Amino acid sequence: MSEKELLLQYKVSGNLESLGKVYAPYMSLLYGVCYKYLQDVDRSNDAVMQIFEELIVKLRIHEVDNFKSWLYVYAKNYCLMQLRKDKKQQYVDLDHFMYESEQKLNDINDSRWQEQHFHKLELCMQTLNKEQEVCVRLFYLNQQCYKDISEETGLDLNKVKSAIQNGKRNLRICMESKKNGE
Amino acid sequence: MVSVTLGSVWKVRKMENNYQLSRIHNYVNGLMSKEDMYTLEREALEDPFLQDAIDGYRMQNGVDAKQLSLLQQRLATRVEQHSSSQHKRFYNWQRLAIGMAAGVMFITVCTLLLIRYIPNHNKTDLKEVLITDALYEYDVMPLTDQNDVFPVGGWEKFYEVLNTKYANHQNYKGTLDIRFDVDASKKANNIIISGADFDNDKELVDLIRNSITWNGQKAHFSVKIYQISL
Repeated sequence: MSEKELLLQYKVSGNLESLGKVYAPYMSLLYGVCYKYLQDVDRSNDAVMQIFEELIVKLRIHEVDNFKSWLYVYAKNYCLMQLRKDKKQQYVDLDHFMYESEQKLNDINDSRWQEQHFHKLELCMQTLNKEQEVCVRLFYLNQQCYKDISEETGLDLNKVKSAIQNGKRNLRICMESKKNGE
Repeated sequence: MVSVTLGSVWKVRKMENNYQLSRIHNYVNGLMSKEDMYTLEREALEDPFLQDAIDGYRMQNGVDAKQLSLLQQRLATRVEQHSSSQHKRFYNWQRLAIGMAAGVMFITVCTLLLIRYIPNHNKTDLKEVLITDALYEYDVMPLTDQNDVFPVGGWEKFYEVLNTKYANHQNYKGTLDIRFDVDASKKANNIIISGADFDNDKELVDLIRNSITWNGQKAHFSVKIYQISL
């Protein structure tokens, strides 16, 4: 049975085995996500279980189209809520979240780009700041991994990652505006 | 059966899951080739779920497989708990239904029996009185010299008790050997009955003890029962 069928079966029957089958494969990814935000083994374990408890209720009511993305957003919101409850323990870099939430929405539109748009790409590349431009070139054109880029540029690994993420976002925005301006 | 199939499905999914997990493990611990690292980074850029998970495991300094399998177990236990409680409820419904069906059947059978039995009951009672009066006769003979008993009201009283109160026995014929002692209140004690399949027949013992009072002290006599053909 596919994930979608299992979810439908659960919605109709309320049989937890179906929901368990859908949920189990995501648990280790979820744990990683929870750990990123909560930074505590026990809390992260509990969060994964607690999210499951909440799904037991939610998924009998709602139908979900893309379970994986939905689950990710749900889990992240859950963790952020937990953090809000104990505000003293804020570990989180908010820019990061902004980027990723946006990214999810944009993914669907990727196919819209056609060959004729790509000459604009070079123009847009020049609008990026130096760090972003270098990192994006090395990553997307030279296909180098973060570690190599970090070594080559002398930038911190996390800095490389966010330069690529932000560079990608800025490029997208630039391309969008150029396309609309045609 | 259900749990077996469930187990195998979980295994397949867990493998996909573990594949991703072992990639994360290798990536975080620097065990990957540069090409593989690039592929995973590329994937993660398109998949924020994966990216966050990688970030999380990097913060944790690696993947703890044991702790993750404990987490899987927690989920399995949670699911099992629920389904067993659901089964319990299910069986209760089933039991209730069976109970109700049995109850209805019991009442139906009782009603049918009552309907059949009540009108016949009076008829058979009447018949028995008529027939037994006519069918049996008794002959009492003392068997030893010590026998000195006779019923209060005479032997006719004894016959009457046998006829009216002990009329339902099947194959009601033959010769009985009866012994007992009579106490101060004229009741029979230590009653021993033998012969003609009546050996210490409880009903007869009760009749001799409770329905008849006796004069004398010691009894040892035979009762011959004749079945009279009409």
